[in-house]
Amino acid sequence: MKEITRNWPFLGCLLVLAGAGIATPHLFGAYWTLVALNLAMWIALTQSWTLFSGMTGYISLGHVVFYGIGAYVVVATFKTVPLWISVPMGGVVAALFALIVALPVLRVRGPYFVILTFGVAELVKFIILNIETGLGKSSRLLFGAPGAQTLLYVMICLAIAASGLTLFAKVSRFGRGLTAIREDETAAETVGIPVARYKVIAFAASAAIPGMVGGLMALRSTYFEVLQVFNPIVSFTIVTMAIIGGSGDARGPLFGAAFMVGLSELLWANAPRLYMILLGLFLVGFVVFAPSGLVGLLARRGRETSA
Amino acid sequence: MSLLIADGIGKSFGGLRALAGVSFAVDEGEIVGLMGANGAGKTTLFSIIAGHQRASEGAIRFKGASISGLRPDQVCRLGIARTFQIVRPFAGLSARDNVETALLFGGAQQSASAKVSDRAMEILEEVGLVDQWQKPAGAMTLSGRKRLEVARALGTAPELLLLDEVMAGLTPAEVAEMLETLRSVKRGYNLTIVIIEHVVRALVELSDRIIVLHHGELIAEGAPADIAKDKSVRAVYFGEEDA
Amino acid sequence: MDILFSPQLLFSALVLGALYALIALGLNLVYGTMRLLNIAHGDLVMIGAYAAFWLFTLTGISPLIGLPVIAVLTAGVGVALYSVLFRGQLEGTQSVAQLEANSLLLFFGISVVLQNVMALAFTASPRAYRHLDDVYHVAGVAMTGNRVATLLIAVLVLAGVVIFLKSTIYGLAVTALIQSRDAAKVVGINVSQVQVGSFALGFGVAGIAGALISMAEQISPFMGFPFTIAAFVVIILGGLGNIAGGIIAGVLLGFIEIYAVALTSATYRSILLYGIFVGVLLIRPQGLFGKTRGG
Repeated sequence: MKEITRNWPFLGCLLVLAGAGIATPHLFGAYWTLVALNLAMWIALTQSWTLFSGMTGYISLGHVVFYGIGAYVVVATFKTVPLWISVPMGGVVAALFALIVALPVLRVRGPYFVILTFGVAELVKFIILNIETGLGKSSRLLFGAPGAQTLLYVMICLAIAASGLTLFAKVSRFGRGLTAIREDETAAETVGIPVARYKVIAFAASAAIPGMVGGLMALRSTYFEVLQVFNPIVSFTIVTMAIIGGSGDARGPLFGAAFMVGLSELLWANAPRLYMILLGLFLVGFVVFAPSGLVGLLARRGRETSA
Repeated sequence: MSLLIADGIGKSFGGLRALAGVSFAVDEGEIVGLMGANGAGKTTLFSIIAGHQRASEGAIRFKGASISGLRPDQVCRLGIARTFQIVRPFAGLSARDNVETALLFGGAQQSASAKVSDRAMEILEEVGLVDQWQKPAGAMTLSGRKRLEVARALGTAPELLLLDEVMAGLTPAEVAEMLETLRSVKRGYNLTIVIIEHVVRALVELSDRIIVLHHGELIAEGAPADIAKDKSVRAVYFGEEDA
Repeated sequence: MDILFSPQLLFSALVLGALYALIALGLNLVYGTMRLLNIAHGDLVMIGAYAAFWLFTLTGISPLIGLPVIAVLTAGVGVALYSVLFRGQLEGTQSVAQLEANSLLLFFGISVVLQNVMALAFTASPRAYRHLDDVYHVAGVAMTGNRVATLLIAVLVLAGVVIFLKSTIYGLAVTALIQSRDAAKVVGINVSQVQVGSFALGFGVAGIAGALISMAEQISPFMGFPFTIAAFVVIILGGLGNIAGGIIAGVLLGFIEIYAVALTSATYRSILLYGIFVGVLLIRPQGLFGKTRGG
């Protein structure tokens, strides 16, 4: 508990953000409600990614698969299963999927793992695409989905839950185990860390929230098309946000998501290509010049001014 | 009573035989030296005991029960710790966090608390690294990292310590310090130790008993003084070293 | 079963296999010599395709004549990327694992930049042009001139690169670097020069492949990705860094894809490709012909 309370600036920041998010629909209207929804979504996704990839060093380029699976669960059961069941169920199915693929996938290390995650996500995308085509549904429309305000409030809960999970992972024994795995997997098992089990748990945990996020976003767009929902750009954006923020702990995703959502507000509507180009350039720039991300840059600035 | 028993251990990599029919026992409280030229199978034997590799034949028994087929983390929690010949610290973590990690997951199974940090500092003190506790392990000297390997192994609260060339590459002065450290932690923790070492003088000085491996087979076993006189050992081991 | 013995399928499989071998060759060179995982490789194919398209539509010059220019263009992109980004990475990064992870992220970023720059410049809509598309009938096989040319040129370039690697000093240096970086340095190979050469050669060959593809297929800024994946399948099947293995695996993948699609349906093409990709990584990451990599 002491470790958690030591992170009060982070917790305070999170609370302020959540408060601002809750007030947004009442104070700033519909447009900013959608912006807040977007921000909460990216925070939830990037925190979840950090929980697994940031902590263990197993970089996943396929996190969109969990988002897509959650969306598909909600869409496929729309109007037959109530949303308060189907959205969590999206998370559960995504986590189950992660559990099933984890054992074979997590045996693969290093660069093979990275490209494998990408391949798995694309494979699932095309399988679901074929299922949908087989069912004669090239796209689906959802009528009577909840409004943006409701979705925002649920999304804020998910963002807080994801942030809390990542913070907990960082300060707990579990998180120390994951960090040791990142540093040296063989040494980690030699000091008694059940490496395989820890990786599987972290992987499944990092899939659950994206599954629910995907479900919510399907409701938000009221429209479901496989190629769009499983778009690899989502995975790419998550990784970019985590790297820009600094993927070591729970603070990074807040900075990374805020930065990129701000940029997308400026550019997405008028110049989506330019936005994507900047996304790519920022990823390259941060990997080369600031591998510890915005958090690292700010920390260094802080040390320099206080010194 | 025998703490560790190796019973007919054999290991093949494809067509290559790394170990063949190696049997020996280690009694509680003993220090057993493991000698042999490069490629004799010493490190492979450690890897099999610690669960990193599986023996093709034979069984390992620890405190009377078979541990063959257990994973490294399970072997560790039973009370066997090993160090690596090529050191494997958690390079990005501080020396203290390296030891803390071992404390948290090894035999002791404690939850994160100030007590764990205190305990980690005590262990660092014992191996002479306490003034470097904040240093990332990756930034330490070779001698420091070798000591950290020992400290991390101690953190898992072992009964049996497998030390793989913890003195290789150290200066004579550092070797002397390491010997002193090993003697004192052995007493302090009531340890049993199996040690691989190329620094023959150090091995003779430290060990109660020495086992010699050659091309994967156990060719001699006995008190250090007798081993030094053993004809077959002189032929294959010292002979090779002179050449 | 008759379908399996159709010479038409055999021809299609050879064309596709030769293209896959060609594309994968460049990826293999860059990985083999530098341990850089180029997931933007397919985008170089795309740039080659656009270069051929504009060359033909603006000047009427056949892409076949323009191949050297196109190869130099994409090779230039490679040299630029090497000088600006990867020289520093290769010199500054200590561990191979770190280098491989960083290179994936960097090429990921580069891929997105290239795709969107091209979409910004030339719109995202697919384009095509007609060139050498007369149909010839030879021994019961209907083939268009551009596919025959594709097969011939792909085989020539493959043979040329292999002979170059086997018989010149530079080629020997590349082979040495693939075997061991440290040893290569010790025997006095100018590692930096070989690396920039590998970038140029690998990217140049990718450009040629793109130009060949553009004659027979629609092109778009986002066409590269499936080729990246196919190239990865090929070099993993053939063993990372194993040039000869990669060529065999490329032809093999071409055959698998053409025959599997013929036996089932074109809608399964992507599932098949990604399925092989995932399957190979899970079951045999060291490849069919590769050796287990140590460490």
